[in-house]
Amino acid sequence: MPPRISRRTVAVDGDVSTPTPTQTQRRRQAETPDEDGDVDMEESQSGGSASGSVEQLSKSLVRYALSCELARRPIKRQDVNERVLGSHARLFKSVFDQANSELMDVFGMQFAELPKGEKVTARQKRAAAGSDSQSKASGMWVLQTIVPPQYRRPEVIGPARPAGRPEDDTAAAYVGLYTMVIALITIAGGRLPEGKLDRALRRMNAEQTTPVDTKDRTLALMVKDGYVVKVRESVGGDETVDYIVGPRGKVEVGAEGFADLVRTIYGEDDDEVEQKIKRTLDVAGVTSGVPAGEAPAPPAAGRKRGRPRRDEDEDKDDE
Amino acid sequence: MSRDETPLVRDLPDEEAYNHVHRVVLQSFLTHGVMTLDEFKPILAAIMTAHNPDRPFPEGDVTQSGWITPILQTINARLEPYNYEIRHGRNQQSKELTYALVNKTSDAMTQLATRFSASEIAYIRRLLDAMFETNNTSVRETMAVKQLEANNLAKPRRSRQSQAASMVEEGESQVPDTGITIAEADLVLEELIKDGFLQLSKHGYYSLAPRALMELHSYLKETYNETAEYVEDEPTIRIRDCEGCREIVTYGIRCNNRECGVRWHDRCANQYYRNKSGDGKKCPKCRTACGGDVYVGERADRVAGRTSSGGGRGEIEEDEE
Repeated sequence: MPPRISRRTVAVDGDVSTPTPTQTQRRRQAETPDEDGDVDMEESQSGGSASGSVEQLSKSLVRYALSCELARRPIKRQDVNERVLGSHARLFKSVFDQANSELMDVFGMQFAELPKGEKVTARQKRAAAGSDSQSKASGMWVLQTIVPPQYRRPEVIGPARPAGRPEDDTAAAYVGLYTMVIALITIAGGRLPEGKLDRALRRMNAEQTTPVDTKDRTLALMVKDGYVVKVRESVGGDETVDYIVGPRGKVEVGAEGFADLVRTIYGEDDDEVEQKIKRTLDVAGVTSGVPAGEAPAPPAAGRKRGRPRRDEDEDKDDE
Repeated sequence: MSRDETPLVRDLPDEEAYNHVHRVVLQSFLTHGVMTLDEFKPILAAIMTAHNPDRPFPEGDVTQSGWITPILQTINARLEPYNYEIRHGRNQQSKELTYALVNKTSDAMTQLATRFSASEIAYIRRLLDAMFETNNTSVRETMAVKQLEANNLAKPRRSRQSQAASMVEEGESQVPDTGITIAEADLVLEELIKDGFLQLSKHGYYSLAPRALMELHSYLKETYNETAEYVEDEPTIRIRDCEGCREIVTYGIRCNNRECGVRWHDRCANQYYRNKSGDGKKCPKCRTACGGDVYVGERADRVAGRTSSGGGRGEIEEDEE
């Protein structure tokens, strides 16, 4: 069984000293949850009964978000409409904003939108080109901590329970492994052939089993949790399998997590290392902080060895 | 060891004073789910130090009354609208104080259902049935399951009434439950232990850990305690509360009178009977003299398995603070 409870709580950008419900201020003058008594006229008119009030619905949304996060499932707009809002779907925006400010205030967390799935295979790209829905929003979120960095200490919100029993290390091992896999993908330019990943894992003595589970099941779990995406593409009868960084991987690990991992291994305060980190991230198309842009990584980058460059032709087609 | 300078009477926890310490403590509970007092102390010390880096906060300064309780009270006040609560309970066996973040509305089975498959949930239900029905008779309230037995439960036994209980509510109820493999069952058990839902004693019994008792509290009573169908019938009560602390007893002692419903945790019984001389050690309900040697929990099974009844009796109590 994979570690489901513990999870890495990840940084958003720097110094949020006090969570301020900025987004909601326009709609509602920064009210705190304990002032629930004062009813927002606007909402009570449109929302109808008390059970459908923004207050009530946002509480349910907070609960729903927490349960999703514990299971490492993304919070999907569609599910929120179905399971939380019901007939009040048109209140989504105000409920979402209110829930977000409550999450910030009480839980020290906020919604972070996942980037849209990348169009990687030729077919996906063609389909995307055909329909011109250029909306950037994925309609999926995860929760991120917004407490200042000094509080984010491994013993406090680290992946493993503090008991220090050896079997508890699986949660930490899982964080380490997916961070490593994401780093390898990033170094490879954003897309890593399965063969190269296998080779890297073999060097880590992880080609059969990992502390989490068997290698295959560990990777499957990473895929399920959205840390990586497995891209199958068949070109001229040959099926190739590549890995790219998944939506949750971009938000939770992202450029910062990658850079920190490299710094841990190669040393901090080293200009050369920093330059290389920056170059790698540029090549992989990962922008710092905010999740990566939708542009697929340049396929040629970092692929000196390994599988034949099967997708080169298609990329030309697309351009 | 702690120089606790907190006055006896304090003001109500200040709602306004909700700060990052509280948020991080809460996140810590969301991540870890359950923590014993000894696990929580260094964490709180680290958080307090992070909060005020100029004044490092030694672990020894973390006291229950001075810090933990007020902080948790403040958090719980804010958690109330979301139906979450950080509860505490004492491990009946180790007597350690344990804190857990509890979801007050949806029972824990629904929560577990998000992490386990339908057939794994069915296995967990069989496990609970074994603990609270099969191994919980009026003669012997074991309320625990031996390792071998836990393995045997991987496959459902046919034509048993537990079949009804193992019925999975959402869909799939038509599909006969084929059970899981022993290896899969082992993984489920391992996972439940890791999450603080189960504990495995050194004598090889699985029983519910404090977190499960806190979370499953109402589920267990609703499931295993039956109200009488007819007025003249006695209700079937399989799970009873401690006479002292009013929490569920799955490991403790019972009144020497088998008909009496009085149950005690070791610690609570020791406290209650401490200053009572031989004659006074009588059950508060039926006045039967309490021998402290009729057990609830795995010791009931172990005592019955051997001829001697030694061990476990009159354990020395430890006071936490």
